[in-house]
Amino acid sequence: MYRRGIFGKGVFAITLLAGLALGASAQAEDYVITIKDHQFSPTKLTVPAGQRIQLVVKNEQSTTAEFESAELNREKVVEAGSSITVNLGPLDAGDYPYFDDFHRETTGVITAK
Amino acid sequence: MLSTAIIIFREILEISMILGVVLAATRGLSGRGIWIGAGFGGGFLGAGLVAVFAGAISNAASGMGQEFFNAMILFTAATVIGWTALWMRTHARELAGRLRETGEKVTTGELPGFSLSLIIGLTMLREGSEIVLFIYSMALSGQSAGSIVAGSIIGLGAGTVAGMLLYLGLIKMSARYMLRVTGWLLVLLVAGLSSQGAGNLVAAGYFSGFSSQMWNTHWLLAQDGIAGKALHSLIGYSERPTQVEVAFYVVTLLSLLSIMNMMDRHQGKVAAVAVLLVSVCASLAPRSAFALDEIYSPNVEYRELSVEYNGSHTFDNDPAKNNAQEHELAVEYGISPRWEVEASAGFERDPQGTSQLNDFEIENRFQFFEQGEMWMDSGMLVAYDHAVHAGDADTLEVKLLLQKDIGRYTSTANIGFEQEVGVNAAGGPDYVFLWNTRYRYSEYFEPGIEIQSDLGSDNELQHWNEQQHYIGPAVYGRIFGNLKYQAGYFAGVGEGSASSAGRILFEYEMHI
Repeated sequence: MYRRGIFGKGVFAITLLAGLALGASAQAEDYVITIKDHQFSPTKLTVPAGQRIQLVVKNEQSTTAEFESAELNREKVVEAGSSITVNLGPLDAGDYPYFDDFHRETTGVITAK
Repeated sequence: MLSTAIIIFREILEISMILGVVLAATRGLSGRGIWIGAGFGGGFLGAGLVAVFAGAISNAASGMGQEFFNAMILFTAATVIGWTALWMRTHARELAGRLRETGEKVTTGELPGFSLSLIIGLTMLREGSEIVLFIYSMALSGQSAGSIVAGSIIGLGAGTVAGMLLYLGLIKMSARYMLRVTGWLLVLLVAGLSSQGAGNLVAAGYFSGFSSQMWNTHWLLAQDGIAGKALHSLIGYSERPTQVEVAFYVVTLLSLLSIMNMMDRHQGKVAAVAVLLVSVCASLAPRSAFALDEIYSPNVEYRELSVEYNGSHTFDNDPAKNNAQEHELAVEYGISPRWEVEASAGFERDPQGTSQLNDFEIENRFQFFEQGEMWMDSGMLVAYDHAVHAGDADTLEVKLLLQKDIGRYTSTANIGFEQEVGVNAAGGPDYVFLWNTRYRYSEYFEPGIEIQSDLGSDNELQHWNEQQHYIGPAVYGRIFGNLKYQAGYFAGVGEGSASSAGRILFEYEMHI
């Protein structure tokens, strides 16, 4: 019915009010945090400040978890057995605590330096 | 009749698949019939509410012109069905997994029984609303009640049989395959709906430069013959399409195919498609009340259910501007990672002193991109507000939602318009601009500054002193665990505003 590639150049209906600033997706570093037995691993993660960062959060539990941090302004559900990508940064130097909103005792810190 | 049958078949198939997963996951749970039944019942009741809303809108239609109203319904149905068809392509398995997980947790007692009802109810609400919207669209396209009913019965019957056979394992056909095939038909249907919407706008007088007929294929396939009628109801075939109808059909089709192509290549990375809602109405407008509003983030909180109270209050020495209050109670839920719905009831107290239930509103927020993926996060809000009092007008609201994080500062802008619709509508769109910047000091305390402006409509757009502008400090955060708050105190700028105003919001959120 369609061939790959041709319709990649398709036309899009555009919103009435303009304002989408489309930046190119920067080359971003990949960091991985795993959730298992209600623990984040690594509990402390250090990332470079001032850069865009791509964080992969893997949930190896049998229950749903959520990666949440007000300091990072992110709140994202990770289903059991799956993983999500969180786009962060550029971050100023400092500590950014986060937690699992489904199990609040589970916490971790991302340090940017 | 054929298109009604296909849509109903697909919706019933989805519903029976959901039922199958839930029944399998709750084996051994006593009393599950009650919880599951309650969920189904609640969901369909909710869909009934959507039908009531559609009915209320239809009563208002005589004010704005039947064709314009038809066009809006057709575009809304096209967007809702199209978006879901695309979403189901990649998320059907995730949805099944989530239903299974909830079912298992209720069976082991980890979750209360009503979570099962809630999750089923919300899924049914979505399916039911699509059915309602689609049937309305078919009625508007001129299909007879008889053919719609016949199509529904056929679809219902076929869908139930197919669902049962799948559940009992009697047919080995992959449900995913069936969803894919009907998905393709839906794409053509959605393009057809969009093009019919355009046709209605042409009849209402829009697009006057592009309404000449493009071709006439009457000789090839007459529209009033049996095959022509079938093709019309299936893919929107028209023997004499205008340039605009062809354009809408092609653009919608290409957009959907491009998105599906992108989805197949980059799972989960879907670009935004928004349908234009044009509303133009040019006459002098009595000012509609402006209250300090919540400033929305374009980012959706998936699977989060919240109950919210939102209130605002003006202060002024002039009794005509003093003590205008608005209170709103709302329930919102992130239905998908990119779509959040909110239903609310609003109470208003005007400066004259009367307090009363004022309106019901349904609001949809759509997130365009993954948060942080683009330079700026963006999304869209589309809301319909139904006024309770006979003399007041309903309102349609459309806003562009933008957000940007720079270090620990988050700035959000909501830019859009509100347009009165229906029998009591008067005046052109009322433009609003809301902005805040806050410093994310901690999850409990985020101080910031907010600006809220009502730029007015028509003549008011040129007169600063007839507009309302407020600016002031605000604070956001969280207390007691799951209770979020927002509070602000503002100075009014310009003679149209009250001298000061305040707003406060509390939101209690839960995950399901």
